Amino acid sequence: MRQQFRNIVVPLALLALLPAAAAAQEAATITGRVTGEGGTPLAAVTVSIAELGVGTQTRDDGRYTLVVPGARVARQSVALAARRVGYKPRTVRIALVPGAITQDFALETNPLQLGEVVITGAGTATEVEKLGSVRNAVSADLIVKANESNVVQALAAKAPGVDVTSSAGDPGASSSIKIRGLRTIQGSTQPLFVVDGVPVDNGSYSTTNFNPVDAGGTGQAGQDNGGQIEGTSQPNRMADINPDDIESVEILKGAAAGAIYGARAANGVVLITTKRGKAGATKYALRSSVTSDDITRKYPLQTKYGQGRAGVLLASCNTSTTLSAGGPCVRTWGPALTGSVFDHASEAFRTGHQNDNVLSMSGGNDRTTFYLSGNLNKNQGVFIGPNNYFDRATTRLNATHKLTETFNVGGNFSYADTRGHFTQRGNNVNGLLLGLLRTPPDFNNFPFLDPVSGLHRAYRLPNPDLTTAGQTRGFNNPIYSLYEELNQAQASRTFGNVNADWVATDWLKFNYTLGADYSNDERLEICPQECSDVAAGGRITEGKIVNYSIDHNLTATGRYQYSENLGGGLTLGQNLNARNFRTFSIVGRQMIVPGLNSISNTLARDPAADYQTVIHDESYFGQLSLDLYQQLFLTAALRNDGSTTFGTDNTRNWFPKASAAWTFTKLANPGEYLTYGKLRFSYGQAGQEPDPYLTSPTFTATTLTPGISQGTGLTPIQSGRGGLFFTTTKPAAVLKPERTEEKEFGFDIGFLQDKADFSATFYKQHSTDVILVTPTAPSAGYSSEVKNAGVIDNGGTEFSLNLRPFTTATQAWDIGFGWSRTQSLVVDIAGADFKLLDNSTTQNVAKKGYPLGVFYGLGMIRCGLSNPDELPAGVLDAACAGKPTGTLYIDDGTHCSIDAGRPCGETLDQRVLGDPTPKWTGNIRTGYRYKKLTLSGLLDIRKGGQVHNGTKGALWSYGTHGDTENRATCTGAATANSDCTGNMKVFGSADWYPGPVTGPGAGVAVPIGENWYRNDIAPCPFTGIDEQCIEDAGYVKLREISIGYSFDQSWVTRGLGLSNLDVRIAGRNLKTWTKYTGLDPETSLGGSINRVTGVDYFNLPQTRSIVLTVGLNR
Amino acid sequence: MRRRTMVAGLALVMSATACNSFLSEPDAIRDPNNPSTATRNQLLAGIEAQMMNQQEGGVAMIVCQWMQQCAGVAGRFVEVQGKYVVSENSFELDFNSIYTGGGLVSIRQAKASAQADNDAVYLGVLEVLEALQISWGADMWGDIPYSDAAGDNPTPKFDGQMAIYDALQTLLE
Repeated sequence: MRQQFRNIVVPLALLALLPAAAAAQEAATITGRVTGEGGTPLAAVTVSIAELGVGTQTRDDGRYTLVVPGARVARQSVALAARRVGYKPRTVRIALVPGAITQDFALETNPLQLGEVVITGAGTATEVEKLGSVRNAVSADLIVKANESNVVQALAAKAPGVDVTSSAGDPGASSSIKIRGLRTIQGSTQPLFVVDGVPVDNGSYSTTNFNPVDAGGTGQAGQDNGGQIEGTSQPNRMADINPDDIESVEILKGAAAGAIYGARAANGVVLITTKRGKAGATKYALRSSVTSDDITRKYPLQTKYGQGRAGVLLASCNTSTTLSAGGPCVRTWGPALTGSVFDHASEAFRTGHQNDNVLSMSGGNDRTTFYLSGNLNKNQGVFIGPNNYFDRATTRLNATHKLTETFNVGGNFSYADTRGHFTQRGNNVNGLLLGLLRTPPDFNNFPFLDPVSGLHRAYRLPNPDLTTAGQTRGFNNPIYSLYEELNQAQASRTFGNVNADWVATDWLKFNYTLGADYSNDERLEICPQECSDVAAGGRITEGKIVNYSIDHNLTATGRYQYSENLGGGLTLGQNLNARNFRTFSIVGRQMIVPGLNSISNTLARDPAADYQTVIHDESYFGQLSLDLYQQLFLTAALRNDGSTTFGTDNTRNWFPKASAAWTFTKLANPGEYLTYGKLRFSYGQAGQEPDPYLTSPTFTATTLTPGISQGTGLTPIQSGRGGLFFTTTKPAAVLKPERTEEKEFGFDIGFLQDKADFSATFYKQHSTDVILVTPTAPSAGYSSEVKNAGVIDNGGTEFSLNLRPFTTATQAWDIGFGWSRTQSLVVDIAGADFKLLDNSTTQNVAKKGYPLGVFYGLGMIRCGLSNPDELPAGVLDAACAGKPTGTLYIDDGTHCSIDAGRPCGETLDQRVLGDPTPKWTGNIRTGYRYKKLTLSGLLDIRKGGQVHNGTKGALWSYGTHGDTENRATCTGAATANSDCTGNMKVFGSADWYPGPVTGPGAGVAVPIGENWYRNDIAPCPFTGIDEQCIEDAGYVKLREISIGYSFDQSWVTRGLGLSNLDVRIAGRNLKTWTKYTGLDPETSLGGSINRVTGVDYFNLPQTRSIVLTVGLNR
Repeated sequence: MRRRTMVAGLALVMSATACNSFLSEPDAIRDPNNPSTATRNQLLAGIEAQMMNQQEGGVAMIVCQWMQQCAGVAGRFVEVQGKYVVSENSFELDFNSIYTGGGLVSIRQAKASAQADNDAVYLGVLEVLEALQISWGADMWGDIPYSDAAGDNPTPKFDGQMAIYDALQTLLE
């Protein structure tokens, strides 16, 4: 590499020296002043002469000086352009003569952003009006205003069709981003993230994957073992970027826009550009914010009834020194409480604090610019105890240097150190909410250690003596989970690039970027000696994750302007990308000494395991553009990808794209109302790479797991050598990337003299070669095989409308609306009817003829939906005659229900019960400025989309849910209607399962208590009748609201020596309007890893925040 | 001249980085986590281990419970034992194990290796194991695929139970 570098640098240096030596003529010095609205000076305006490749920037007073070397001054006419983001660029033709030239500019604001440069990926760029697909840019201002430390979460409600879901309010918890729906069954749903031209890692990895034995996974330790539904939240790795370093984000939403990234772009691409220094005096900015966080909602729990069953609490429950293994002590169906009750809905929570400090410096001169920043973010979460925090320190240096007039070099480097302690959650007896919400209201979780024995004290084992040391408590005392369990992640990450730009001639430019991304993530998970997992005696899981990638991207861009009406460009490029992922892990069991968190402190260890993947991609791409009559812009691109994941035989795939943008208002004279109009059409294909090694035939070390026991397997050996056998998954000979073909059509119009703009986009996607693991005839030697077999369609509509009723020097008001709808359809899954998407607590499936990811399971017996064979022949048909589809069948206790008046659960056929994908999403954003005062707000709207609220179903059964406060008094078996009295309800009435009912038991009043909530079909996670847990999770969320003031009076400028001082108070997620009965409708058990969304099973709560920010700028 | 040097320099960058071996990097092509070849003695250990596991596995456990000679512990096998709930999935893994993993597919590979080296000892051992494996399958399920199994046919044809015993007898002789 070094040799090659010298080969290129030496001749370039020579090139630069030659004209200088020949200079005999006087240079031309162009000076001037650039002003904006109201004549205010504009800083950081780029003033350049494109054809000579020279340029400079204005200083704070709006003045600039541009020197053109004498050798290039030939009294020719050149175009001098002034451009700045947010202003309409202006170009003036001047005669370039030796000596002083003065040229001032007055720029107008540019709400439609016409003429602004848009980066389109892989080293290509274009201008807004030439873009053939919809543009979604998120500015630095909007990112900072979101007050999110994770840039992915900051993108929530910023662009139509971009669906961001935070997995929890736990500090550092991942956020998932899904663009234009789902299109894969085995692969990732997350877009490709590219920072300053280099693809970077945004993975999220569960520590539980290191322990397939306890997680019940089938993979090797280190592979995905479904660990994301239990264990702790983990960050998505884009949390390593400081949002304050971001200059802009461009979201390439579909295959049509992202095709230039070929086999990695099917889920869209998020292009992030970080800040650069600007020539002029060095600027300093210090921004400090303090945040106060608390949970958005308290869980509704009942406080009237205590522990027990059928109204009776056995005395032994309170005196027990051994675990109550089930039976009468575990649930809260005991007597009405007269004594003290404990507030489990809030006892584990506190006000969390976040402290974010960013110091940045930037500046430079005509040749060299730099941007240097440091960020310290300390986030203390809302759960009590020492183990709930996520701290991040980052630093970044971006620098550019002009070696010669035509040769620029630069580098962008970032280092991030993140350390966090996370909280156990989800389907997990160690989890915080599982223990907390199941605790009866009459049990005091404090102290969590028994005062006599010093051991873990939980409601199922209230008085532990030393004989219970090292034993499970059934469910953890939640406070013990918070104080004693350690779930640590420490990651260090470096990513960045070096780049060089060479303007070879007026029309030809080369760019080279070499990027790297390296992270080392160390995990330690301690389940102490009395924790409630299967790990009797304690368990230590230790693992390291090393992730590194190198990216090389070389482009050559030629531009040709034949005449005013005919121009074009051609970009050719080559990309090499290598990605390595490695894990090393060990699980130790039975801790010898409590509190010593070292693997050496364990009696037994599972075999240590390592796992690695290596992926190499080699790609070539080209993009051709043609500009006609300044109104028709055509672009075509082609990428050819080779990847080691495609297998050895067929390692190359083509991804074409074509787009057209037509500014139709150029053709006819635009009226007073319609100032700008563009029609756009684009077509493109993009892919998703298969997982590595699906084409590699392997032998597996024999591991015998006898019977169904949950434990470590045995590896047979023969004379000290291990045994092997052939893989049970048939390797594919050839595997193609999953391919998404997209057609996008839309228009952008600006009207009312730029006071408004509207954009509409319609798209259709057709994804083929979707990778599936399908069962095969085992007699062929394999139980499954990997195939390109699925077909999934997606379609959607996106609108955005922005209004700027007034924009003057003193005040401005803008308001924007976004709306989008996306719907997928599973067309084919290798001929199968349905396929499970993920390991989850629910069944989210790809089912033929339905949207991808629907909930699939058993419901209540309903007309037209249930199999008539659920009931004796003719019974359901007779009851349903003339009734609408979905009418609830109410039995009389003879066919399927326990007693008369109750509905029944299905047993035969599973059906589609709901869809987690929202019907539509929208956002309303507004900003108002009066002189130095700014106000802003953002509403996030999600219509429809369901969540499987398994938490509710489980708490119904446990009798702690708020719904169970109104309960019938039950005795005996608490099963039949006759066992219970009071709280009489009629199914189908307005306050109890409203809707049409039919059947022999319809209208019969039933006492509702333990007989229904625990002993009938109500508790969905335990009965498998999922229908009752599925709830509408639509919401309207006040994502952001803020008020700010920027002081620049003389006490600031003279007294403090600053240019201005900004103060801002903001609220984040302050209010959520929803019908959802759980903690928050925005929730995700699997976080950003899972394809499944809409699952709530003891998920951690979300938070809302008040943020006070002070910014000092100089 | 100058331009030629530059073009040459650039060509060098392009050619040196676009190396042909980039897409055939061994760790990227072959799974580095699992071996991609196995010797016949390694396979033999796997085959024998799977056979042991099969003989002691699900079929043995469940039949033992139905004969009321043993019972599940810690709540296991409640469905099978108490309610006689048996589905087509109950013995799926046992059926699969005749062919997959250390089953016939590995036996055939080990035999091919022994034949190639004229290793009569291994070949003999493997033929005995093949007979044991397949006869166990025929004992349990009657007609099963054998002659066509673990080969190129994705849906192997079933052979008659008696024909299988005859074929195995021939194999042993």
